[in-house]
Amino acid sequence: MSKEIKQIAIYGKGGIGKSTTSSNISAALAKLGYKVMQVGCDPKSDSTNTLRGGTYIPTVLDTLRAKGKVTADEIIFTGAGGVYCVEAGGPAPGVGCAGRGIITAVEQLKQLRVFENLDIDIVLYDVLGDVVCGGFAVPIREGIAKHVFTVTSSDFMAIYAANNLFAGIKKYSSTGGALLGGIIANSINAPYSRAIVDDFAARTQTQIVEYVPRSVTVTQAELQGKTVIEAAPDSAQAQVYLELAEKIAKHTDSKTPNPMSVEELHQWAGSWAEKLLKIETGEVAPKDGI
Amino acid sequence: MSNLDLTVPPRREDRHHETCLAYGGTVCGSRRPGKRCALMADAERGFTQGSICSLLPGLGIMCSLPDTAVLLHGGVGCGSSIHGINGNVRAGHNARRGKPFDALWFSTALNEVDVISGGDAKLERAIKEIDALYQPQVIVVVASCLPGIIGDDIDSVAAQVQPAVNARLLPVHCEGFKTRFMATAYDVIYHAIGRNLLPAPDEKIIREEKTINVMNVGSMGRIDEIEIERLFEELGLTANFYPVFARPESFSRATRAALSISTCPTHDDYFLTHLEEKFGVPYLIRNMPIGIANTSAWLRDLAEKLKLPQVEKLISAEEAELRAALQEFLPLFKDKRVFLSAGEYRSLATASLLKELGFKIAGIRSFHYDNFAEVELEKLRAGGEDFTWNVANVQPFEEANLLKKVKPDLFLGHWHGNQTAGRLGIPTHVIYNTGYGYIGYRGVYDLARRLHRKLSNTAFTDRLGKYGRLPYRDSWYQEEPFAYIRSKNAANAE
Repeated sequence: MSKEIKQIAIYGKGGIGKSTTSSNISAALAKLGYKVMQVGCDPKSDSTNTLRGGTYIPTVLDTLRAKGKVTADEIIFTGAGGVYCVEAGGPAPGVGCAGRGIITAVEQLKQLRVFENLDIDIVLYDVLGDVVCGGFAVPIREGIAKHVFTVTSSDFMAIYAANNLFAGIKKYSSTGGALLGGIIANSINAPYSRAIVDDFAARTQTQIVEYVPRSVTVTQAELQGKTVIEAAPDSAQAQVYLELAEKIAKHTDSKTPNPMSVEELHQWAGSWAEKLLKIETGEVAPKDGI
Repeated sequence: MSNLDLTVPPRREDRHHETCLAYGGTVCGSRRPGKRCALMADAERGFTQGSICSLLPGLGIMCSLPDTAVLLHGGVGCGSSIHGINGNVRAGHNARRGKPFDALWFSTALNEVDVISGGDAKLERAIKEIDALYQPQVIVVVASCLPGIIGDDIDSVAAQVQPAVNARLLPVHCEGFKTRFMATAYDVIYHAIGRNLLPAPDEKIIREEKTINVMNVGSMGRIDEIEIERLFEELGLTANFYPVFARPESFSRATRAALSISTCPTHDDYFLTHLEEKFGVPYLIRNMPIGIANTSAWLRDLAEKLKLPQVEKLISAEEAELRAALQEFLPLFKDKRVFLSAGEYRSLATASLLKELGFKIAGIRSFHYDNFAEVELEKLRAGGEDFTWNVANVQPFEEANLLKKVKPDLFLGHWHGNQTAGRLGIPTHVIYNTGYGYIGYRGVYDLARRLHRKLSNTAFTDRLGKYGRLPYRDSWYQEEPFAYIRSKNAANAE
């Protein structure tokens, strides 16, 4: 019996910084000495760009389309720090079925037994946005990933997406699906941002794994086509990612979250809107408002 | 707004207020006091053994069209029923054109990669290739479930490719998963024809005063059309049979006809309304010319509309001749109990025919129910008797139980639908077979002659019943045949 591979799925609303966070976690894990594979599950196929000098790699589905079958060396590419990079790929915008694409790509990886053959310690699935259909739930069901982390900012739309994800996790939790490791709070600078995500975590009975501040270091690194770990290894931001990676590597017990109902979520968001308005108008001091 | 303005036609269950797939009771019991029908629109079976995909009747019609290629856009298995349909297509061409032609059909055979990337490009290639290699007048592009789920846009592909090909492209949306009512297929095909193959309504129409559109159905053979032509000739009329086995030119001829008449009301209303609204062709949709009284009523409707008083003379002469010819068969039929199973209207109309031959109706199974059936149900209710009536989209287990209890002397079932009765030792006959006559006065005689022969020697089914067996446990036969039928809402409320 081979060692247990730690499989982790990172979900979150589109544009929230999932791929940036995932790539930096992967790079940090590699730096900590783990053998890591990052699997991009998004038709945009840019999850691993910053691990590969800003370049795109051929996707599982492109290769499957072109050749009819795939081999491991056609779809696995080594990135910065030795992170193995895979992009599932998908259809062009507006056609076909991206969800089915993810199902097929993940099946291919399983059939090729790439995790075992490469002696991987940790696999990170970077999954597109909302759990809009069955395909996007693949990494969290059928026991593929064990732990889910969600990246969210304090924006309400990002929190809605996280809440949807929690509903998806809860649905599959009784049938061997993945459970929730916690929230990675991204772009947390304003004091109220932290209060909002803290409140959300409390309401849904989960935890904040790390607060990642918005930082110009990240932008600079991305413009060079690099992760922060590679481009600015001594920066404060790199330190945040390293701490996050350490926590994820040591994380063992995930839980079933308790998502809010649609009404609860609206009420909850409404109460926060009122508080923020009072802070904005100076009716209360920021410190007291939260 | 007409439904024809929509890309995709509405489903039967959305278009009709009263539709039902599961009912077990009686013909008279189906009428609620003071209301039309007691059938539950939301009736469900707790156990379902089978159902009918709308692609089946849809492909039956499309594959019959001469000079037409059918391109099935979907998984290759969706076309498997065409191998069965093809026998009917060959026989139909043989009867009409003197030579058997196979259905010309193709499949884009979508695979996993196509599902992910979308099948549009493959569809475009297939259309161009069929056009170049086979040069059909029409290419019907049929979307099965798969493109419906992944969102392939067959209408856009057809519109984009149309200038590059000679064939007229006819996009048809026949996604089986969308409807539980196979009759939706008829609407879907008429919808596509109405949108794509008829002349523009503003073109000047030169009316053909003696031409009548006779809407035929896949279960109607050429022999039945000949009977209608014979009767029409007596009235000085010409029939434009349409759409089954109809050439593309009879589509435009349909817009010039003096009148349209349906031979199966559940089949045609969608298109008849369109022909009347857009091209001023009035229509009749009430009776099915199966049975003596039904055929006479069908002709009377027609004659009344066209002001042809000579119809009465024709009817009395035909009826007299037929009744005299039937005499030799009637003693054997007297009080024999018969069970019927077929499409909604056909099963009910044939029950009226068999009553005229002296049979007792032991029970009827209709594949579905919609409001069109009421005319025919009323005729059966008016007779003062009541009959067991089962609405079932196939469900052989229910049929087996029912037949064991009802114990009929004769069973008339759908093409391929006589196995259950046969293995129970009940003499069977097909309720339609496109090689046999059923329609008009001639049809009554032909059917009576065949039933007489069948009942004169039942040795075959006697032995089948003795040695054949059905796969159900004895305990199932102890239960009520309709034990699994219940209201979905009631079930949810439990």
